[in-house]
Amino acid sequence: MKKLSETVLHESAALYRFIDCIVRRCADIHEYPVYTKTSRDFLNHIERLGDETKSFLEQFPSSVGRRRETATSKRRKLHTLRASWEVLHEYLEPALDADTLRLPTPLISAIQDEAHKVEGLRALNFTLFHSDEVNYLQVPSGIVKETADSIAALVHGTRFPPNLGLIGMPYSQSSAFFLNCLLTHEMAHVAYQEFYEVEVSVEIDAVLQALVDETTGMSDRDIISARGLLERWVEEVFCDLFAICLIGPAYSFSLIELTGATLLAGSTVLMQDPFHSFVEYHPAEVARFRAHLRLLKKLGWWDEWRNVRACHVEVLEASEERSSSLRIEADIPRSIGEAGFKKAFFRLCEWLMEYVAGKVRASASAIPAFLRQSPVISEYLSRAIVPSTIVVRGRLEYPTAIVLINSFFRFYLEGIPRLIGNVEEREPKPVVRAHSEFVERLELWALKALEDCRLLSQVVG
Amino acid sequence: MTTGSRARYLIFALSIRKLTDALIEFVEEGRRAPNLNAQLKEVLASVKVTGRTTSVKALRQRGKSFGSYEGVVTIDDMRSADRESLANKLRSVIAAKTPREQKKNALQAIEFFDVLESRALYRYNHPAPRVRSVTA
Repeated sequence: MKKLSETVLHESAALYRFIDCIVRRCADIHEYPVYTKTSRDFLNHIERLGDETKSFLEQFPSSVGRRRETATSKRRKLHTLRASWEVLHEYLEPALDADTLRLPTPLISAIQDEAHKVEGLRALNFTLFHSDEVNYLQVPSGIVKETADSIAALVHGTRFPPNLGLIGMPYSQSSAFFLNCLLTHEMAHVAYQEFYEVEVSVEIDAVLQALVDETTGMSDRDIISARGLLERWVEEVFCDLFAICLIGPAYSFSLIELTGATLLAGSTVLMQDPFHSFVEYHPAEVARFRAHLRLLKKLGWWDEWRNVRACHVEVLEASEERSSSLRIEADIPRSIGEAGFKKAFFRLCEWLMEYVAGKVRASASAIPAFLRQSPVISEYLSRAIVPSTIVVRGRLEYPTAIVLINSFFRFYLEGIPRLIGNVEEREPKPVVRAHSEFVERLELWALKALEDCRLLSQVVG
Repeated sequence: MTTGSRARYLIFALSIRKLTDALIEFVEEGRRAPNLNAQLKEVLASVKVTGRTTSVKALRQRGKSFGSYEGVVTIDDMRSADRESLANKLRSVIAAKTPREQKKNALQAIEFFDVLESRALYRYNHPAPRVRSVTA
């Protein structure tokens, strides 16, 4: 049988080797491909933490022999460290894949610039990674950051860069514009977890305690389950509302696109329709759209958009009526019941509406400029002109990012046939393909316009 | 179980490991980490009442790790006799009169913590779908 010291040496070396491969991957970054500063911050941190863990492992075998009773527990630490490094490993390659040529950088910069204007969020940053899912996701700060910080605590290493969130986007959609407006929701998750969660939790606890008080008493498991559901659903709604307050209705329409909820326009309510179901990790889409509609009305966007002829608008309009068919398909404590739980959720939604609108005012303040400039931008787009600088009533104007994002979205919803008609080619293509190709051009123009907008804001002010 | 929920078992395991490290340091070098007693009291509060009727506020007071669903489930997995025994060891580490007695109980508490850590890791290691996303 091997001596303990030999076994510990072997275990330490095996983990060292595993981490060394990860560190080398981070260190192997040169001039090309180019990464954003936040991506480099993330990759540099992984490299540094890896080196610190390796230093710890070099000293580890000598520390194990110090006392027989604690040796097994110390060896178990290697097992936990390995599991922790596996978490970081999962996000490394996707982050390396997301160089600046494979990201919609102008849109990301525009959203990030708007987020930085919100009080308290100046330091918020995002590292993007590619996901093989056709979905947008945010790695809860509890995963990467807490794992990295726990590793740091165990090996006496460096803490994770503050306010740095990790966001995933579909690897194939780097040149997309309309769908990528969903990134705003993911950025909101980072803001929520870093800055707002504590305040919102106080409200959730108060609403939940009122529910508990109506029962004859609940176990800790039941309360935690109920609290978990409410917390997850409320966080999703918070992020939706934050995104609308930050960039406007374009966010709602991008969510409708992703979820395929255009199906809800004009169709009759089906009881088994999943759009009406609250599930373990997400509130029902219909409930989310209802909150969107109410907020858009509150902010003043809806007066303009209600007249836009698009199924996306119909989906939002119908959400109020459809919300009577909502149901919960997640485990809730029997003592609370579905009706009480939904009521608690909607009460929190109403509270969130005031809370978020009070914190983020960017999109609401852009409405007057949108009303003035959007028809002109639409006219430019229908003639295939990138509207970075426009002439409104004889004066030169420079649309802001929020005006551009929403104007492009409006044109996307109702203006493509006009564009195709104006730029007709000799050999007409099948309608779907032509439509898709013009949307692609529109997306490229949108990214170009946002890039110009950023440049102009630095030059013109 | 999503990766987000799964990873919280790992975070719980890591919280336990940090406590274990602090106890090992106390046993081997006699150094008591500044917040060790406060953390042990959080564990004690959880171990004593897990599975019982409680309030939302009392749950928050158990702290982020031990008041989490994953923390409660992992502690609830222990037999109630083991939970009682762990509670006694922790009480002793916090309040025993002689350092020798404190260290002896700390060593036994480390064994319990190892069990909790490995249970949490076991739950973490079960395969699962993906992390939180914009839609379900």
